[in-house]
Formats: sequence, structure tokens, C-alpha cells
Amino acid sequence: MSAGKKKRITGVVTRARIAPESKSDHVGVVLRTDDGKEYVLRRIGGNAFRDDELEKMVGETITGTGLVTGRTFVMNDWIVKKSD
Amino acid sequence: MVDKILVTNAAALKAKYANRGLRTIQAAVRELVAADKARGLATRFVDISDHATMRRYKAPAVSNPKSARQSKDAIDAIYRAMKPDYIVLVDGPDVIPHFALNNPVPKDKDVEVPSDLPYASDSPYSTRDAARYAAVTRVVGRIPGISGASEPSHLVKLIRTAANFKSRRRADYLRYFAMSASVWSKSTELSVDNIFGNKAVRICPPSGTPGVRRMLSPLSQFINCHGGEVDPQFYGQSGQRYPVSMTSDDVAKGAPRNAIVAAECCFGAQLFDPSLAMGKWPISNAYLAAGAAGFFGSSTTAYGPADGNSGADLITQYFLINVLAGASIGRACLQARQKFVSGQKMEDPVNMKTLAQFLLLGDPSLQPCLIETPDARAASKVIDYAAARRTRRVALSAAGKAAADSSGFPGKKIVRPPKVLHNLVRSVARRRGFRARTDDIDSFHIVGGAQYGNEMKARGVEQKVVVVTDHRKDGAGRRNGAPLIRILVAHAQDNRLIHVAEYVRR
Repeated sequence: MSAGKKKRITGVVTRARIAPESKSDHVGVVLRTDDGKEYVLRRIGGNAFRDDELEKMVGETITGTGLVTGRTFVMNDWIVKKSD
Repeated sequence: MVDKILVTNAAALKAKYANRGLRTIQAAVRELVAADKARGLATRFVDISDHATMRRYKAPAVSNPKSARQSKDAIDAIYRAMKPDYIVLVDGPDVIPHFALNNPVPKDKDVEVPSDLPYASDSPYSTRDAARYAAVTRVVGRIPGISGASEPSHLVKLIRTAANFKSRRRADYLRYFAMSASVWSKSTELSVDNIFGNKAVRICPPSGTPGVRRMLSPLSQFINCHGGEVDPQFYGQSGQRYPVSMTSDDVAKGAPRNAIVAAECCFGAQLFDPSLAMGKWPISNAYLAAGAAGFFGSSTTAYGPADGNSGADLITQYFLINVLAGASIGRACLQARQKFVSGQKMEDPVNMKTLAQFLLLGDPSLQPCLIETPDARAASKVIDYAAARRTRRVALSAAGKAAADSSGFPGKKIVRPPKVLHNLVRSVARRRGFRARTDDIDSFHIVGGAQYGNEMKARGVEQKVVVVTDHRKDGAGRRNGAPLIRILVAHAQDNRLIHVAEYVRR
């Protein structure tokens, strides 16, 4: 799997079940976008299964910059949208 | 007579590593060909991007290195012409692509299943359906460079590892390292008992990085941990804690030369570009760079229960058992796949995915364990090992086709399942505590391999598989947010239940 182009994706950080019934079935954090897409969310270098920094953002709308690989969005950077 | 072919796409190698890199690789390949000759193997290097070469095999050259279909057509033509005992794919999927097979278990959200399985099957390319390639007949392995690299030192190192490899006494491989996520310790104990006749397993937590690097000296390694997409780490688990069990840095510092590794972990053999992971290599690449003979792992999300053995547990066990019995790592992989197809219900989509996703990294002709009994020593004076190997290939090719012919496979989803079966399965599921709403139940036709299909037809029977999924939170789950997930798979013939299996989230 080769590195693609960096993307900016905006969505709501949500807790969700990832890889159900698999060896790596767990509750993790996903990014849900307005167009209905859902990405498993990761910080580059972060723990793929439990990342407290991402947990803190659950419920927030963020715009992340990073790479999409398969079902995962690996973020280098992100901005949290301020509440209205 | 050619025993082994090294297949590559020189145009793709040149694009990846430039002319100088290609020349370095070709020099390393010549060393491997010479080393194989000394071991009694006639090896040929074949460039599937070269028109003149491919004309000899009556097939077009590969014009698009990203096309798995073109690569398979070329490899099929070479195989038909030479019937080699070993096929080696030289470099990663950016040179010889994986197939992007359909995911039989789409709810895990893997977009596709990158797979080398079709290269190991005589079935020509026709579809992305993994069942098409379940007749596994060929010994195939991949010597992978680093995805996205621009210089070839890793690939060259791996080719030289293969050239310099020497088999060892079986006893050397009986000392093992096994690591398990704490929540799967019972399953892992069962696996290592089946492989090594011993239940000792390192559990994470408490074991884990960085201390694990001091535990990595044994030549046989079995890993049953969590793995993530584009992730250079594996993880343990205890409750909702997922500590890092090992990293590619641990492997680089602690793993021995000549190791043989089977990893059940999700994405354990995913060959990702390290630039996606802050420059850290995949654990599989790290093992091979440390001098491992082979790594058997999964490209995507894998499956197996917490306490018993199924799916990934079985196919990895079979692989190591075959290696310890004296098989080359390529034959160990082939026979693991064949045993899995012949012994498991391939109608189960989870089993179909398991077959598609596990792949062998390393030169498949390497034979780690020498079986040195007095009888074997006496026989070595009279046995023609090349002829014996070719005879085994005849038997294995027939066995692979027979296994697939005798199996059922998941077919199309049934839009309107028979009410009687639907209600029967729902009542069974509810008796077992499933919620089993209509939306939670999916039914599929079973399609057979040739013999299986003929028998179904001759007997006038129709088979289906019904899958019930239950997602809810148990008592503990409500407190910590972890859902309880259960799956019930019901096999039916003529709308009568014949077998019910239950899977539980680990």
C-alpha cells in the first residue's frame, strides 16, 4: 500500500464499533462526514486501538489533514470547530 | 527442467529504483540462482514486462504493473510452460500487485482483501470472488521490498538472505516464542499446544514493548495479538486497555536470523508504505530484514474466537506444523491452505476471507527444518529429491482441486429468504438470547465446487447459510461502552437446519 495524496476531511468524531466479530473487534473512534462516509480515525504514530487524545474529541466536529488508506484516515494535523 | 521461477516486473522495478537499483537487484538474483544451483534447484528469473520473454510463453507482456489481472495471466502462462515447483514474486505489491478480492465479510469495513491467493491457483482470472481461487495448487511466496522505497537495499538483503539460507535441525525450531493478547490466551494456548506440544505463552499485558525484544530469540514465532491498518505495532488487550505488545523496532533489535513467523494479527502482513507510519516499517518487513526465512500473515482484518480455535488460528497453526514436519515454507503454506479448505465449512464467509487474506512472505523454497532420523539418512543416499518433490506437486495439485471441488462456498445473498427457514433460525437465535430482528438476519445461497455442486444437484437438494448478528451492550458493556457482539451461523439444507455455530466478540 503506497502513500497517496494528503486530504482534508471534515466530520464529526464519533465512538463506534470497529471490525465487528473480528480478531480486532473493538470500540474505537471514527470520523463521520456529511456525505455519509465513515473513516477509522488515527493520529499518525498513535495507538490504533485506544488513543486518549482522539477520545477527548468525541462529539466534536473537526477538519483533519492526512492520508486515507483503505478504511483508515491517518491524521497528521487537525482543527476542532468551535461551538456556535 | 525448471524447478523455481523468480517472477518480477523489471519495468516496475526500474520505475521504483531507477536503472542502478535494477542492476543491483539483478546481481543479487544471480547470486540466488547460483546458490539454488548448489542446492540442486534449477532457477530461472523471468521478467513479465519483457515482450520477447513473454512471447516465449505465448502470453502478452505486462504493460500495466498495477494490473493484477495482467500479472496473473503472465504467471499462468509461465506456469503452464514450465510447471515449476516454486513461484517467487520478487518485490512488493507496487511491482507485482496483490489481487483486490471482494471482502466476503463487508461489515468489517475492509474495502477489499489484498491477496496473493489467485497466483497460487490454476483458475484463470475471471472475477474478484475469492471462491473462484479456492482450488489452491501452486507453491507461491513473495520476497517483498519496502513499498514506496526508492532504493533497493531491503529487497537485495532479502534475496541474499534466501541465497545464504541453510536448513537446521528440527530441534532448533522447537524452541518457540508465542505472544497473545491477554483476552485470547486460551485460544493461543490451544494453538501452541497443537503446534509445539506445549502451552507456554507470553501474555500482553503484562509482557510487551520494549521488554519483548529480549524474548524474541527463538526461531519459531507465533503471534496472536491485535494489529491495525498501516500500523508498525501489534497490541495486547486486557479489558479496554490495548498496550503495545511489539513494534517493528523491537523486531529489528531482537529477532534472530532464520526465524519462521506466523502472525494471526489483523493486517499482520500488510505491506504498507512506511511514510504512512512516520517512517516505521511493517512488522513483517522488519522480521525479514532481521533475516527471517518466512512470515505468514494476514493482509486485512482477521477472525478467530477468544477461547477455541477457528479461522486465523487454524491456518497459522497448519503452516507452522507443516514447517516443523520438514516442508519448505512454500509447501507449508500450500498445504495449510488446502487443509483449511478441505477441513472447514467454506460456506462460512469468515472462512472464505481467511483463505484469501493470509499470504507467505519469503522465498518459498526455503526448508527450515531438516528431519534427521536414521531412516531419513539412509534414504538420502538413494532418493532423488527433485523427483520426489515433483511427485509431491502432482499429488498436491490434485489434492487442491479435490478440496475445492468437494466444498461449498457462499453464493449470492437471498433477497427474500423462505419464511419457514427465516422463522426457524430466528427462533433458535432467540432461544440463545439473540435479539434477532429481521434486519439482523441475512441468508445466502450455497454454491458448490464441481463435485459438491454435482452431488447437490444429483440429490436434488438446496443449501443455504443464514447469519444472525446481535449487537448490544451487556452489563459490563453498559459501564464501559463495549458492546457484546454475537453471531450465529446456521447451515440449512432444503430449509432444514443441519448445523448451527455461534461466534462471540473477543
